[in-house]
Amino acid sequence: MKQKISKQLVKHIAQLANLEIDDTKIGLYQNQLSVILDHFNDLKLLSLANVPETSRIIEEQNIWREDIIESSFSQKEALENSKNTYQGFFVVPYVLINKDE
Amino acid sequence: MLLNKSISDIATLIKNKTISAVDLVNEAYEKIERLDSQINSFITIRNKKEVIKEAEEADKKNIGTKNPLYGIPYSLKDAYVTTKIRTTCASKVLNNFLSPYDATVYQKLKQAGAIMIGKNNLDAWGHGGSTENTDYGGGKNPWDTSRIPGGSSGGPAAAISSRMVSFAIGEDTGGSIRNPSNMCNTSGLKVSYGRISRYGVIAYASSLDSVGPMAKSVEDLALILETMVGKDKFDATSSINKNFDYVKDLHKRTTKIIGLPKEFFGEGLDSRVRKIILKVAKEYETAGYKIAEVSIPLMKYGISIYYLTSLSETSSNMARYDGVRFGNSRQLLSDETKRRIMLGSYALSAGYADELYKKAQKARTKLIKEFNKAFEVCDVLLCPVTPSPPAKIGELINDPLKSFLEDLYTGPINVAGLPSLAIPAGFTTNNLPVGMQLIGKRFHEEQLLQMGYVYQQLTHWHIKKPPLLNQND
Repeated sequence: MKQKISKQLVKHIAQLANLEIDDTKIGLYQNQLSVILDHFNDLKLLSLANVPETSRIIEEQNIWREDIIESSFSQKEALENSKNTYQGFFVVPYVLINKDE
Repeated sequence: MLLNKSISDIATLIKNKTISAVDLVNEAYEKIERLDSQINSFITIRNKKEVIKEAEEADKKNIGTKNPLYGIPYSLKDAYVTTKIRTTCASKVLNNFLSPYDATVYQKLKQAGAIMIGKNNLDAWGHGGSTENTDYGGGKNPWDTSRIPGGSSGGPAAAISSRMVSFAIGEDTGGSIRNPSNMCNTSGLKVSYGRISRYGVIAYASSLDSVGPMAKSVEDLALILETMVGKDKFDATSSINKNFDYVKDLHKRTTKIIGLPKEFFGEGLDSRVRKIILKVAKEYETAGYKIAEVSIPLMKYGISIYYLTSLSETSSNMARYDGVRFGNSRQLLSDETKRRIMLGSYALSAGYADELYKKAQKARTKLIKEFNKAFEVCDVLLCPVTPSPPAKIGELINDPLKSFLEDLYTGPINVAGLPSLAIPAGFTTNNLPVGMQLIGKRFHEEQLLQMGYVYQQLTHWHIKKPPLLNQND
């Protein structure tokens, strides 16, 4: 392995990915992610200037359908798999927290 | 016994009422009850009484002119959502998740009269090639239970190999149908991107995911495929491209030249696998096909291109598992899955996306061109499926990079959206199955099936049964 990513970067990526990594495992993740990212570095050897990107295989674009109203899930069905509902709504975690409270 | 027979033989017996759907279902449960504790190929087995009732109804309605899959027991990789049977995708995050809708493929098979027995084990979310990354007990290989069945569709392949079901439906993002077919001595087809609707398949990597049949022979695959293909209004990527009479066309010979891509035979390939695949090439040559060496130089970067694409896409797809609308907390995700999501998040993050994700998509453009160029001089490509025969349990799950490298010959095929068939090609001296891979031009599944059919007429690897079974099975 040429270069190891830092423990801080591991924590940062975990935060970006909305994941919690146990402190005792950060070192393991650091090693494993570094080995794999090091392998991906082989792409640096390729000269790809002016090559267009292909992010999907299909040629079709903007696939439209007739605007016909069809029946869908009932509210009950849509909520059925949620563990936390209130008066027909999903209860979601706080996004903003008042630190003064 | 009955489930050892081909689908067309079973269909004839059902049609003539020599056997009943109930007979088949009883046999499936007898095998599962006797053998599945040794191989862990199922996550959820349906209530036997309910399934018998379904089979009895099918027998009553049997008027002799049904789809060949009518009354035949099969299983689904547990990545297909079903309304009345839980879908876990092998993760406790979805433990007891009941989908509000059915996958299109499941609907089609239901309409054809096939009987779903249960849902198979896999690497959670498709993340793996060994069926070890599962929260429901690791899968084992019926040919040697100290070894992996391959993955991620290890459960379907092991269940077919053990004759618990007549066929199964897998899903392939970077080898997930082909890898376990090759390790369990079964046949599996990864279709061209867009050939079969993916509505209701839990997404791993959206620009790569493909649905496909898994069975004991190529003839069976052709029969199942005819029921699965077609445009679906619920999947905008499903193609209107003309469907073929796969079964009728099995006897046609539209292939003349087989290409051996030299990059698939280089460093990292186990010498036993190499020997078997080169022997297959000789056998085809003796049967009258021309062999040509071709080159796909970018295969050297195949693993990086494939993984940077699939991990970036999975980091985005997996964001939906927040435990709010359905499922449990994402903290229940396994280390393997967390690693994959983090690698993808990194590859897409500001400052790194240009060097990683975007670069991989540029290389993808070139890789597709190289495959197209190879197909100017040959009709199909012949190569190994995995670099080595089935590993011992624990070998891959504890070495993430080694585990990634197992996808060397399969992942890049998904990157190019090509169809690919994996079928049995021989055995190592210690009786481990080795498969071969035939890769075709996009939407030319029929050529692969024809080539596989020819091979299964010439050889008998595919009818060999694992030591887990007794002679009467």
